[in-house]
Amino acid sequence: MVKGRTILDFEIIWKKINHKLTEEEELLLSQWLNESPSHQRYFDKACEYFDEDSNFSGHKTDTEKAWKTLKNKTLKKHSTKSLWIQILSVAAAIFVIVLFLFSTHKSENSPLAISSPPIIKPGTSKAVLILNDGSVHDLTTSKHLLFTESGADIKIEGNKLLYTEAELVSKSIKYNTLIIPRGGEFFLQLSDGTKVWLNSETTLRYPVQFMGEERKVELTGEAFFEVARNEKVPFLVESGDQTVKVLGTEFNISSYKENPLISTTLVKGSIQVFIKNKPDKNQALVPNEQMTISKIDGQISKQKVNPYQYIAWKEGRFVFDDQNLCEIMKTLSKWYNVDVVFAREELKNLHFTGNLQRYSDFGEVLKKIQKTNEVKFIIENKQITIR
Amino acid sequence: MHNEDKILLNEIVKRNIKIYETLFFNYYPQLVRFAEGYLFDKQACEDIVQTVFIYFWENAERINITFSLKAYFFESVKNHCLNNLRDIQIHDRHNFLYLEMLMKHENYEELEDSDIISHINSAIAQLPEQMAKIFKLKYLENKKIHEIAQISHITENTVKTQLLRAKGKLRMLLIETTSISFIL
Repeated sequence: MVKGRTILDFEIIWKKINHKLTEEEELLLSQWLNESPSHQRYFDKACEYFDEDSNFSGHKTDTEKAWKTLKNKTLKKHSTKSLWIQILSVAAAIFVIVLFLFSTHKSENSPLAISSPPIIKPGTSKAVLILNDGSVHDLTTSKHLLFTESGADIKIEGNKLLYTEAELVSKSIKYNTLIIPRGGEFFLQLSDGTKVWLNSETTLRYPVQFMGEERKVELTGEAFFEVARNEKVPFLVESGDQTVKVLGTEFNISSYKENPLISTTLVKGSIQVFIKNKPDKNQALVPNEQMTISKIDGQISKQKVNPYQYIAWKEGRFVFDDQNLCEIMKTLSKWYNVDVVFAREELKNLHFTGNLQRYSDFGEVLKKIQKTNEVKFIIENKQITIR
Repeated sequence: MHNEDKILLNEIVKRNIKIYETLFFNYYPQLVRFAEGYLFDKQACEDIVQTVFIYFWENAERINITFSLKAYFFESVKNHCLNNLRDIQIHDRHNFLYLEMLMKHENYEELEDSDIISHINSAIAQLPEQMAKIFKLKYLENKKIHEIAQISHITENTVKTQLLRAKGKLRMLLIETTSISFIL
């Protein structure tokens, strides 16, 4: 559960104990401490741990005792390949068969079909690369390919695609396009050193080598940017009518086709947002600010947010902070590649808060939401019905 | 994966409890201490290491070990710790805790891995002379800050500043030359 909003780098705690903090850091620390007693507890323990005179790490761990607990906890069921296991497995098989019969007969009102197969797997690193000449390469199958495009090397390392800076050989800008399908994610490093994490169902078009007075890329979908600093050549991200202009900073843009809103969330540094043909609506963002613009009427709103919630996907988590189920399911369906049907319209407006692991299987994630007893999920093939 | 680890893992898949016990006795204390460097909470750390071992036993067939068993255990414990930290909104973006732990562990025989030691030593060698001296006094000879101040004829504050800078530099050096899984 996410309660606090301040994210603290551990370095600040260490500095507090061993060094001086700047005013800004002090403020951040006290903000974080005030958010939860668990924060204060952790801080106190850290102080004790790093106190030179305490013998924190001096105490002995009782391995013997721990081993006994461990043995009791888990090994009983495995320790001998006894008759019990055989009986249990037969019983389990019968149970599965019964369950199966039960669910085919009464599938309409079997409330929890989650624990039965098929298991819906989370997304993985998948991507398709389109080179300037139009050739298409599936990066999922070719894990160690190396291309050369206008003198620059393009390297693939697992789920990473890396561009290196090279001497300019051609005068025209060459573009590559990286497409991440549903249930995929990928990491890209551009030739200027800028790092981009691409979420599912995302397309990014970018020059192989940047040229001229700006570094411009085009985005549909969601991506987190860590832009390499270059004050002379601003970095531009175009999505729809919106262009974000930065010099060097960290931010997230979510601009999915089916979503009527484009959200831009700033983590670090500063950015400017320009709206096509509406120079009076230009915005500047400071860290922890999010701006959304409606694609329909161009209406803009700005709010303070916990950016972690919006970038958690990049660190392998889903963080929902009082979000409605409709939004939550949209996010989940992209990653798990499933379709979602709401049995009743009002279910869409239920709000949930939670912090989930992105790599869990889908059943686990749904179980956690279902535990609230507000909704039931029914899985049929790749369709989830919410009742 | 080393052959030895392959054999060990294979025994676990066969549910060889003797091997399991040996691995547990071998790794438990150092893993708890390792986790303590993240969470500073003995009980929570013991629970985490137990969880990792339970998972290891129950899912041995499915576990994919790329480097070594040791690295697998440490990596799993570390991930659990980072998850716990995430829940209280703590990030360790610069692997600060990890480095702190390496330093602390260097005195312990269990982290006898010569690779780590030589990496750290060569990183220390790249520090400015005084900084390296202070750093060694603190972490290799376990001197207190005020003792270092006396020995080196500088103020305690200078010692602290130098240590902070040294860590910043070491962090850069170590992270450039080693990946975490390699160190483990």
